Amino acid sequence: MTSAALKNFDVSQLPSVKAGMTAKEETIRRRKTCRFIEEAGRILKLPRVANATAMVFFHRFYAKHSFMEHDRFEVAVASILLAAKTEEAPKKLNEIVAKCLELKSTGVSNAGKGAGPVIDPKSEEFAKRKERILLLERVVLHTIGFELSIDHPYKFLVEIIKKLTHTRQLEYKNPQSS
Amino acid sequence: MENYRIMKQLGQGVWSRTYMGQQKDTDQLVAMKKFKANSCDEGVDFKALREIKLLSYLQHEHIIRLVDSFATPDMAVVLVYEYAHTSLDQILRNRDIPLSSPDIKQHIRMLLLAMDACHEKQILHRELNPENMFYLEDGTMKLRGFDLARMHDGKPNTLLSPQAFALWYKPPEVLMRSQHYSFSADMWSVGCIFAELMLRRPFLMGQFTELSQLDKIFKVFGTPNESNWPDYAILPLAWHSTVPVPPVAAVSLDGIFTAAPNDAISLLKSILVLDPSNRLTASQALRHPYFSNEPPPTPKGNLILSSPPPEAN
Repeated sequence: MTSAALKNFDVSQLPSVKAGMTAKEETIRRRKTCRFIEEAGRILKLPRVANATAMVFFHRFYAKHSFMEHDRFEVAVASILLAAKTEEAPKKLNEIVAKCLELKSTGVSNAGKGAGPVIDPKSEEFAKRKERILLLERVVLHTIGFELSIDHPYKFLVEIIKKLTHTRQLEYKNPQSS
Repeated sequence: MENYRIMKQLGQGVWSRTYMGQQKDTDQLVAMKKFKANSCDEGVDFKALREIKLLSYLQHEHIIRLVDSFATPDMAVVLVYEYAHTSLDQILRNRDIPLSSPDIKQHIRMLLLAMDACHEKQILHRELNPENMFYLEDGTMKLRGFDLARMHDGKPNTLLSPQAFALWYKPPEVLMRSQHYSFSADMWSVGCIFAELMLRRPFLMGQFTELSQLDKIFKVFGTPNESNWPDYAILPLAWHSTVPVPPVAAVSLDGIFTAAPNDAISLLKSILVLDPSNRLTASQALRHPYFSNEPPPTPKGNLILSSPPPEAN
């Protein structure tokens, strides 16, 4: 579904824009949430590929739903949960929810600058969040049409960079050996 | 779920149940696997996601096709596969079905093609056995049972669980608790299935325990030593000296497979090798003269998959 949906990409057709959000605001929210996913993934020690996959899930989700309909923070956490499992690096749900709630209250830009308020995993708020995230995980799964195999461009880039640096080393070494 | 009619339960695993079902709109028969909703609330089942991902990535003539997948309101994930009518296990057990040399050649060829497709995409199957080789009505073999399968990039620091594989098809390095096995481990299982096709009974039948399975293997292939398996000494179990002393020499396979043609035994000998690094890969095995020699494999449409209709049960 996604590749076809993106072929004739039209900003005005985005669910959030249709629901009244400006395209600029839409972009800002996407960018902010990706920053959040990136930082949360770092804290959770997820492999980079899981992070990238979580972002793809998140982007695809909001290609079909609006930001007004679903809380972007919860969708982000659900995407991380799903991506961690998909990329062979499953994390405990409680850990994901706890670390993400913590990061949310500290703020991404303040992350690592001191302990934020800790949310009690036994509290009612925690349980509610967890329940909604579990529900959203399935909504995300349905929205992305169970398309879990995501090809990222990074491995190709890494290969190219390896080739480039390799050639440069050769160039560097040659004058010495001659 | 509402698009399918469940007809009967086919089997039950630790994590899942399988059903025979029918698509309501098309009347098409399907096999459905329902992963139990896990009570510990980790969300959608990890193993289900793994299988969905692998199967959609692995589309191939000889690999079971995933028709549909969905989550039910009670958190269970259901995978819907094309329906297969019989398995190699059922064929082997049914003494009314003859298995000629060309038939065997076709069965093992289809398995190797499936294996080659998996390994080329860096997927380890880890549960090859006759029960996981399914057949469509037209004789096409479809490999299934990807519950334990996983991507394997071949990097030496990836640890793999020695818990995979069914006992009789478990390779010696996995029995010796290696966590660094690779695609050659699947090839051992392929070799065991090939042997089973020729003998019409499982080749290496250990009794319940892994040690008894190792014992069976060593009685045929000899105990590992510096020359037949240089790396065996670094395997976890080798350290604990569970390798039966005194050393046993290998038995000639020609004496076991008396009815098999020479080229078949030659192929089997190149697959069932103690040292994983000396086993043929699936693509090498497919290029073995056995497949180009006479007789050619039976066309898959002519394979006999079930006993003749009257009085059959």
